[in-house]
Amino acid sequence: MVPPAANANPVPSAGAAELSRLLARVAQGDAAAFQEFYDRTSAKLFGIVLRILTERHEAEDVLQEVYVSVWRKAASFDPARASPITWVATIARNRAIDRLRSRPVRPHVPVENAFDLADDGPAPDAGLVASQDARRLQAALDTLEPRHAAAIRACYFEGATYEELALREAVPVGTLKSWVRRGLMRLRGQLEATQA
Amino acid sequence: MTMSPPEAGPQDERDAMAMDYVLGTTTIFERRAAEARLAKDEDFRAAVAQWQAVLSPLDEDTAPVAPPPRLWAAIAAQVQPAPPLAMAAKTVAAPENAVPWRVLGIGGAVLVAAAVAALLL
Repeated sequence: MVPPAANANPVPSAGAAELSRLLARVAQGDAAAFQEFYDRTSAKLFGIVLRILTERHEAEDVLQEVYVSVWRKAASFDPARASPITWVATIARNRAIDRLRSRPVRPHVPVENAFDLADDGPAPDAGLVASQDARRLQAALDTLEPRHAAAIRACYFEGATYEELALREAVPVGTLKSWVRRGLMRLRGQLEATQA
Repeated sequence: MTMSPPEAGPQDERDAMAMDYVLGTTTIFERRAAEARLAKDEDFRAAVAQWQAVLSPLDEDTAPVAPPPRLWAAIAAQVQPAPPLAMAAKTVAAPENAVPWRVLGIGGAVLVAAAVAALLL
């Protein structure tokens, strides 16, 4: 496979441009555009929310909040600052994590997994073609200690706290925090280096 | 406790807070504090945006799951009575804008009533 030589700058995909157009119409109160936006994005967002909350009923509830919020806040979406899918995925993650944190008890971690911070890796059917950004990020993650990369992924995908992961890994919270934070700094450094 | 290298300055503190917020590891109180800061601290906003750009490609690793069809009905029902105010005003002036609402199974008359109600509020 030959990487594109001249085209180093990320170009918004056709899908992103279309989603941005739909959001602009949603901001005008266009309900048909809103439905189309939902049709194109809801499976992705439901996957993200369900992965964090694991409980279907709760995930449905949160997804509903997310789209009501998209309807109300579409005017604040700025295509110059984020891709439309990142924008909605961020809303979805934030809502899901808020919900997770509001739970009185957390049935998230099955007991038998409590001491095993296995990196669950990319979902096998997640995307047929990973974007260039996703491949670069994966390559950077692969250079970290596997346990550190797994901790970063567990935080991101499950909304786990440092305290929960420290318990699972049987390490002090400070150690876990430093795995994640230093790991992220390295990731950022590597991404900046490969982008240059 | 917080692991701060000796030379940690305000910039590191900001970066760590942004990182934790984007990663989603924080408590609900820390999340509210981060959101309040987002509203008023431009440097913090930039730091959050930067971490979002770093981490958001991870979303591609999550398999899509189709939500049940009833979910759209619930969403549509929730947004219908409250179209944005500016639009509601326009809809009264130009009834053809009401057409998309029929897609969702709502009559123009109901929409106009909602729009008028919205204007009265």
